[in-house]
Amino acid sequence: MDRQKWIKEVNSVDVPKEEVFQAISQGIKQAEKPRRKKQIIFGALTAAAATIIIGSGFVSPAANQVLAKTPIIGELYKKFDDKLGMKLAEEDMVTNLNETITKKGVTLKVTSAYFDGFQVTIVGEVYKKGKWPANEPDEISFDMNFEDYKGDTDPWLDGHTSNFNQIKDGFEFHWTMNYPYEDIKENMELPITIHYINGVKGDWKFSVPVEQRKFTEMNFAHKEIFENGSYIETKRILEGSENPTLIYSISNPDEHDQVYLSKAVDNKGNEVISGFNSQLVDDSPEDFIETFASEIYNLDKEAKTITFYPELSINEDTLYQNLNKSGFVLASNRSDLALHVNSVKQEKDKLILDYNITGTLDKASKSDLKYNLEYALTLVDEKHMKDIDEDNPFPPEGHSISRNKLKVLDREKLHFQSVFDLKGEGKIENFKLEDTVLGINFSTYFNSIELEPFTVKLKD
Amino acid sequence: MKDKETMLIKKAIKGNSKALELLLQKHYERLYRTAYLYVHNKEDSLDIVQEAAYQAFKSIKTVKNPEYFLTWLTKIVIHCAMNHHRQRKDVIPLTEEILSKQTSPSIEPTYELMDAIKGLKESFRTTLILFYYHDYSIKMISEVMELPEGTVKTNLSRGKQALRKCLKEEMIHG
Repeated sequence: MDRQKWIKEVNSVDVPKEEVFQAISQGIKQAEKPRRKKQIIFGALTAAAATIIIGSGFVSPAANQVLAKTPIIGELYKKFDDKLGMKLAEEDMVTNLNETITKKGVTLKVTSAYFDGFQVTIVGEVYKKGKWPANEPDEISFDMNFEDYKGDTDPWLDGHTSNFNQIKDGFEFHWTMNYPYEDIKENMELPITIHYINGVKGDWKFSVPVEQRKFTEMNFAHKEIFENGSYIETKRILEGSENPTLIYSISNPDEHDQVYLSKAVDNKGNEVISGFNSQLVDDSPEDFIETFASEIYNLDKEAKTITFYPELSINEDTLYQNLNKSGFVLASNRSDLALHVNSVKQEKDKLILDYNITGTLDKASKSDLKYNLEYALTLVDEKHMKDIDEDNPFPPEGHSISRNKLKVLDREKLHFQSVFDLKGEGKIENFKLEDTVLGINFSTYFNSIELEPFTVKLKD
Repeated sequence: MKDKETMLIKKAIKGNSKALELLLQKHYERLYRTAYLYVHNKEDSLDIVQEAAYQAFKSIKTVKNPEYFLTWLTKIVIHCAMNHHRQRKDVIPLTEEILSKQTSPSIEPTYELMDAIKGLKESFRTTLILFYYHDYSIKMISEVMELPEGTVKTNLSRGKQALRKCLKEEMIHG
């Protein structure tokens, strides 16, 4: 495959400069303001599980067409691009309030609310004729408390986010609050007191009955132990959000032998999980166990089982050799790959390495070599080798060079020349050839090994 | 990396939004085209750029070394593109109805490779985009995709095979 052809083709895509600049500035502007989080949150999984949807702004015409069908009650959710809210409104699962309170000329209308088991979302509108005493004309702020809490000690305010749209004489708002308790009370009433709206002191009090959305945890326990001591443990499936979420853990006690999940397929043949999309939610440093959350897509309603496809990725540490000898071999311990250095020469500010790569490589890997060798070889000042350890695997700045210019001398025989610029971006202070070490890591060329798939039953 | 850019990156890491904006503007073509590779239309690509700018501002503090700025930015735009792509896939089934409503004839030029990668698995597509368009080494792809290098390699060679197959089929049928 020809890289030039790729670049030529991709570069032929017209870029609407003005509009891209506008999108950049909009994105940053929105980030500077507080914005709601995603609605679906699994306790500590917050950030990890989040797929963030931009409020207002760019919605493709095709998407608009679909959104246009959302009934009127979902209107406000639609304006804030709250897809879960829209869906729940459509299913008649939001609580309609339509409560209006006017104090000091400020009218607050609370339209509706929903609770998805993790967060409470409330939408509404606020109006005032004439100027607000505080804030920029296009901004609004609320000073409020929930239940009987006062000031900042209110647990509802932790992670409370608010988003708004300017409308005639006022604003539409969209608030989300993390549900702060472990137990979920039935028929919850959430009292809210607003002390100030945009600098206007008042006493807007209302209570939101919050219907809980059904949320269930399905047992999905299974532990698959592999020969190398690693295991994958599926734990449970959380249902209640748009897509169910699988929680699973992987334990990899040996860092050189890492098992991971490549995909999962239901018994109807749908790929329901891609390991790539799993989010790391817990990685405690005390053990080798990582816990992941992965949304399950396209799961057939009739599916009885899910089959998991694990893979094993093997790797080895970087191999090092001092450059005081001109010819030497660096041989991989876990494969037959080796780097045969034919000569090492220093010419002014250039270090020139002539070498061959030997061992079993498939055709694709061979052609990749010429791209990867430019990054794969590292020169390090021997005195600073001690700076490289497990916690700090990067070659020390100012004492190492990790890029080189590559020349293919013989494509068939995998004969190459690498030229390191000793005065380039990365450099080694007081460079001396005999004090310098060459490093290479062959792990890049180890293929991951497909392990035996295993199947877990879905309870009905 | 030029000194001026390093300075901007350092400023941006400290939370200077103008510096970040200038940096993103500097790489605007790459940002937009990377997004375009996933969604093949202007509106969604702009949407992704906007989301990427949002995410970039929110997480710029995590960039420890200015040298990794571009890799980090690429990672963000790729993730935004994939999330966007998936959401849209969930939300809008591209039905005959929608297609027939597009009255103006398509004036898009034909993109042989880009059309071919459309049909590939997400992980293959991303690997190929990073490898060919971004000119990333397997090591860098593994960092961006948070996958072991062995997997990246497997994805790359399988992706290439799949792509070759797509291109061949297109030549026969197209």
